[in-house]
Amino acid sequence: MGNMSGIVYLANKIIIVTGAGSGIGRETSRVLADQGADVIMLDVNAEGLAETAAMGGEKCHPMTIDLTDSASVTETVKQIVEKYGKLDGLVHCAGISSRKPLNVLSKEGFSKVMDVNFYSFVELVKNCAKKKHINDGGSIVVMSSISSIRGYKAKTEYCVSKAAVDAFVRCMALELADRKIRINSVMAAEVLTPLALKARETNALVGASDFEAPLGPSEPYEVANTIAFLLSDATKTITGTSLLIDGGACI
Amino acid sequence: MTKNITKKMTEKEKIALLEDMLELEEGVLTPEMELSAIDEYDSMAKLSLIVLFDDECGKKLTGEEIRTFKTVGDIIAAMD
Repeated sequence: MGNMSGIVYLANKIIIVTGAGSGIGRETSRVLADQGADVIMLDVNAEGLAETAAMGGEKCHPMTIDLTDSASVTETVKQIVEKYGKLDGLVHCAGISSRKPLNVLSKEGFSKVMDVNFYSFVELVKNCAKKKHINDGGSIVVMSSISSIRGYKAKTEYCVSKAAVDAFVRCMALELADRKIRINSVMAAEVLTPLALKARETNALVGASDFEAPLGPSEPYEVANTIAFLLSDATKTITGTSLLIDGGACI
Repeated sequence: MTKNITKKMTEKEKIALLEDMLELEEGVLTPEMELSAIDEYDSMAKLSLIVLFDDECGKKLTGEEIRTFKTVGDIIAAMD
């Protein structure tokens, strides 16, 4: 059970977490469950989900889904609400990266990244934010990146997708404010997930070092804690913002 | 780039792809050429190579494999 007397108290909250099969999504699911939430974990990777469920315990409920299939998103959100009750939160951690210089950029490539990083989030918010699906006062958090506000060689698709996410967050914050639903993004720099460690190999190949932070890279639990804070009732007026957790990389 | 993974490419076609990727004139590259002698074969080109292998050959190229490439011929051989 969670921290009953602490600031972040999520007992009995129903929260969807995407990308729960690995990395930040996995750690977020574990932290939210530890704080008392019922976590409905979504991922296309059934094996990864099962591992997270085993780590997170009985408060973690895995569901396999391809988030790029809009019809599946609609049906899945409906099923979740029918089974677990109205939502209190949504966390979108699912995402993919890419490293492509200008000469190999294509509409097809952009679509692939945008489908997962951006359009799936739009569909999730559209379905989750329905009055019959989420409680007033709910909170939505999405993983962004400092790539949203900085430029990197050969990371165009990813940077554009995260900038789109942050723009969407600002607009939705206004549209959902009447119902006291907050929506924010977490702008991370390098987070030590398996995918990030793999990306380091590619960076080494091209001699690029994307994130040079005075405090170094973040651990997944730090990002998960930040997400938990934004989901909790500790704050009811932070909305439409992008919270940096970058080790000082943007200073 | 378009998917071309079902068709087996000739050496000439592979070289043409590399020349296009590196923005070199047609006929400039030969299999014997050392990659270190090609100014255009820089870090961005290596990233492009990963995408080219994925799109044209249906292969996932790793950084480790790229590091083993010494000549144009090494890249061509890996495209099979």
